[in-house]
Amino acid sequence: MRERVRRVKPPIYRGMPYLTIALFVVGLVIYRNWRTHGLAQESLFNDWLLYALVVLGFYFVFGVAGQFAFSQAAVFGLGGYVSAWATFNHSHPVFVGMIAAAVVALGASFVFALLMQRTEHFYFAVGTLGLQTIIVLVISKWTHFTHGGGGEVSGIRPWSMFGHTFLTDFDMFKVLTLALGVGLVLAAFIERSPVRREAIAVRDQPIVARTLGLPALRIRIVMFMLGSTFAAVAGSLYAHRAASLSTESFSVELGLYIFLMAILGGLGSMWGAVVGSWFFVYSTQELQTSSIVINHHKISEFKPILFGALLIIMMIAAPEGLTGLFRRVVRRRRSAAMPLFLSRFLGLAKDPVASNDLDLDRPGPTVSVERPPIGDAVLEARGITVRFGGVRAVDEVDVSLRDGEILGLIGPNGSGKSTLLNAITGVVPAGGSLRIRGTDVRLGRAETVVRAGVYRTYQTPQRYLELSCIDNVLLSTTDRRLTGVVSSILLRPLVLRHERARWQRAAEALDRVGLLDVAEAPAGSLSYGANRMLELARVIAGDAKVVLLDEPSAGLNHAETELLAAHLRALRDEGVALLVVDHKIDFISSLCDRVVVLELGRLVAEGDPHGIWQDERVVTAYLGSA
Amino acid sequence: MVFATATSDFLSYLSAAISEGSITALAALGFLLTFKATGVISFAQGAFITLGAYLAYWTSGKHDWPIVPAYVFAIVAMFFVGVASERIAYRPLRGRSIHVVVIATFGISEIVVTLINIFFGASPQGLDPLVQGGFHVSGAYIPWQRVIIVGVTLVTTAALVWLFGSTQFGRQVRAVASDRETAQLYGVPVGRLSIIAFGLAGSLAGLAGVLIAPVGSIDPNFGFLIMLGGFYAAILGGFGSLGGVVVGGFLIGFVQYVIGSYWWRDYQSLLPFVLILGVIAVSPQGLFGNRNAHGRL
Amino acid sequence: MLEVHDLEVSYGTVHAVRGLSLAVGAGEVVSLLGPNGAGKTSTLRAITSLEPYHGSIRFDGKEVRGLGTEGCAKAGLIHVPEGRHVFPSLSVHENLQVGATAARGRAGYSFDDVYDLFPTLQNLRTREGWALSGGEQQMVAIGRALVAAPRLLLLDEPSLGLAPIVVKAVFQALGQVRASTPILIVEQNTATALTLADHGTVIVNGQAVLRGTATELADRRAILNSYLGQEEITA
Repeated sequence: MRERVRRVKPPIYRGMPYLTIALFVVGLVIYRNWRTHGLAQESLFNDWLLYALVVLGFYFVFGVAGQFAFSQAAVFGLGGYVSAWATFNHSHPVFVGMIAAAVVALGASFVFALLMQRTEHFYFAVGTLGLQTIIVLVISKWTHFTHGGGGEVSGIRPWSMFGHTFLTDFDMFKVLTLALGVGLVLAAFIERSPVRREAIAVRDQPIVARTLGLPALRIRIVMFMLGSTFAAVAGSLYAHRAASLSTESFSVELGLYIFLMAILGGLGSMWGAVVGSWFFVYSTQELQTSSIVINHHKISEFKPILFGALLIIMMIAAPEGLTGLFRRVVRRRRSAAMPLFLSRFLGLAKDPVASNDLDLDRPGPTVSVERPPIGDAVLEARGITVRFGGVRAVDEVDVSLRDGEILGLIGPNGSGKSTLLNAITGVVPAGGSLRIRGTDVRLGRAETVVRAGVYRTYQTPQRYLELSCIDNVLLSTTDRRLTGVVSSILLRPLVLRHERARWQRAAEALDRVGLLDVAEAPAGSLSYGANRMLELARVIAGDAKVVLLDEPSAGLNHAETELLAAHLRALRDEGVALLVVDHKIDFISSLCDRVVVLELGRLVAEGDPHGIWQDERVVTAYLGSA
Repeated sequence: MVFATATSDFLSYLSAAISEGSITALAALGFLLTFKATGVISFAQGAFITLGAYLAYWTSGKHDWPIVPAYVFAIVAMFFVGVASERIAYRPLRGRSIHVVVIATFGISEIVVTLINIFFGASPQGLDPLVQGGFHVSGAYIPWQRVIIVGVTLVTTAALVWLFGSTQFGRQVRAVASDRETAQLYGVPVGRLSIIAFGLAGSLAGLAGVLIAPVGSIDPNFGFLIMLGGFYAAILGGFGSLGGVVVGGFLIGFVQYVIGSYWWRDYQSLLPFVLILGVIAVSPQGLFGNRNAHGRL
Repeated sequence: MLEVHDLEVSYGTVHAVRGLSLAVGAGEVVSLLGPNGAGKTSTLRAITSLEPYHGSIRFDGKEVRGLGTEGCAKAGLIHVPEGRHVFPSLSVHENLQVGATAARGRAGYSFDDVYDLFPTLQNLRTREGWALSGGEQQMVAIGRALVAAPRLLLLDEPSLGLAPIVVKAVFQALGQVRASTPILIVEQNTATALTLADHGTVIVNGQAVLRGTATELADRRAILNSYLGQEEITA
């Protein structure tokens, strides 16, 4: 087993994005020197690079973290103005301007994100529009800051570094290429660190992310700050290149175009920013220089119409963008055509083709003949009550789970079993008390229950379709040292070391349930049975002490159910206490030490698994009274 | 003398506050209607307000129609524009997430505004008010049009509240908003309802456009800013609450024009944001909103 | 009145219903019984065009395919969904009023008739849907369906999550309804369903495994076993 595990390398070590970036930069230089002639073309090239940087920042905010923000354009402008202000005094070196822009952007985006933390989506989007308005207003009025009137600033110093002044577009090209290169490398750092899977986890299923103990708020704020900083840095470069600024440089229209560039390029990868901005800049140019005239109006006046229509058409027909299309065409064998967040976002999610990748012939886990004795109560829930409006879904239920035992919970549809689990794991508000290993745990806080070592699986497997299996398992790890953005950039060697350790554990867990071979495949492509095993792997990797399983055998055939039971027994032998909610007689009887019965939210019977089915009360509960 | 000036100043500010507040509320009623009916927030509403104003300008200014038929024409035409937006941005994307539709409405907004730019040019135009002139109160001059705006806003809000609360149509719309599938199971014509909702929202935008335009001048972007103000009023009042948006609008107007005129004049347009952020921080659903409102916010 | 032949419903690769056939004649009450996930709800959803399906579904001799969900409702095929789905922000009376949309000129229950049938709702006319108890919601859901002037009533697990006393009251009311309207009732609670039904089909894993009259199906042990796919458990 060790051998197999060691053979598969963690994603952090695979692929060569840095090489791709290097090649891209070299390609840029070659193309630039060979193909662009004349000032106009040079300027256009630089425009592309600048926008690519801005859209790259937006990719983090929207593509990765899923936040609907129109503020990129505003912060882009803000960065320019701040940089101009900071360098007004000629004794200040010019790069101080960029630093000032970055600092202001970090601060403003932090404050904004913090204030808007309790809102999502639409409010957030409108808030970013508001941010735009505020920034424009302040800049127009604060003449002291802009040293000019009405937001017009001119005479901005050109960029200079190490004594060399970058006056021409050709000069600036070098700076911009460097900036974009750095940006792409940073993006690669983040893609290949825990940040990516955590951000996607928070984006796709925030509630589940909470129960996994992920710092959702921190992730969202940091990604927003990161994206805004990219925009501000780009703004600073823009200001020093253009030598003047006006508030028209960053209108709401620009914000919309940034959206368009991101979607056009594809939200699934950082290269989408590069592709999208290239398309936008060059098609704008084509429109400007075209001599087609419609009804006495040059076609360039129709630009917003064309882009607006393009946006709508993209939404309808090609939502994965150009990079997504490319991936689908070229890498057929690999992952789903488009990130499933995007397809769900766009409502196109189709059921992935199920492959029977569960290897049922592999020997199951070895179960020791000697069972560990049943010990003290590990989980004690007393008087749990859950009300929804006028309905009492769970009514004064007492449940206790002892060390080393497997407790079964049965009951007809609508009896409140899932709700009881929700109450215990803090997903719904409930009355009553909960003690775990003798310590009182407050009901209603998912994070505290998770931290106490209680893990829960769901009736429909809750996994992140877009993330690979191993990423899904990695999300359950309790070792969360150095998973933040800053660490991923600055403390990379340490992060890699921790990742390797985490990855090892995750791979072992996957191997134990027989899924090591599909570790890299997106979870969305697994068959139903394999998904259950994936859940199990997460439980194993998550180091749980208590596991609550909600209908784990649902949808599994006989062989798969047997395998599941064997795995659960192996877990019990390792000292994990299990509570299993299910319907299948065989499964419950063979697995559980004790069974309790729920009906209409109340506990109506308790006993050993064989006798319980004879109990008149149980039959009544399922079939109604005669 | 000083006292008289102070009073007339105050009354000017107050009248500005009330009418500007009404303007934002009136602008917001349209997209609130689509939101309550379909959960979609149409960012095209601003462009529709502009279009409504320009349509009236085109018939009355360029073709010398009398003012009332010009207004009516604009309002009726905007109904069909609203229906068209439902067909283009909503129906093909039905079943996708709300964000997609919202982005599509942005696309529509761009298209409409650019068409206006092309056909009418970007320079500001004027539209005749419904009633010329105004009256004086304690030295402050109040144009009749502003009074009409306030009146129309209140009447329209009352009409919408009645529509949603007491008519079969309103009941059906509310049913569809909370559970579309079950509404279908009881024969509610969900497709037709969204068409009507979008159409009505278009008309409301047209109404807002023709009434508001005469107060200032119109240019291709004037509707967008008003719509933004409407968003803020709706957020403050509680998204989904019709009465709330009127209160929100008045509060914003009051803060901006009364308090702002006395206190921090240069930045008076910032004050509403302070107010909104303050309210949202304490109560994310606004003043009158409730968590049962359709759609995640 | 309702004839279902060889119904197939799939969700992606999962076959929820496989080759199911059943029929409901005028004046009959037919029950569809089975455990969780057997395909009962999928069957009802297919009948009212909420799910795509293969096979034939005929109402009054005409195929319902192509009618659409609203069309089925207007034709008198009224479905009370699992979990009741009372409109949460509408009051009890408003819920009933929306139900009347499907009635379309047919004579059905009037609002007063519904309040007579479920006296508890009299005092709850203005209470909003979300604030009702499970039993009250079920009464509203059924009342709403009755106001829709059904020619055939489809009930999905009406006893779900209800206390026995409430179930009794609901089924008593249904006993009155059956005099004028044929019913297809889906249930897990076989005993109660069989007090109402003339005959029934037990469906497990998408397929029919047992059919019979109410009396035949009254042997509950056998049903439990076929539910759980087990042989008779010996004590």
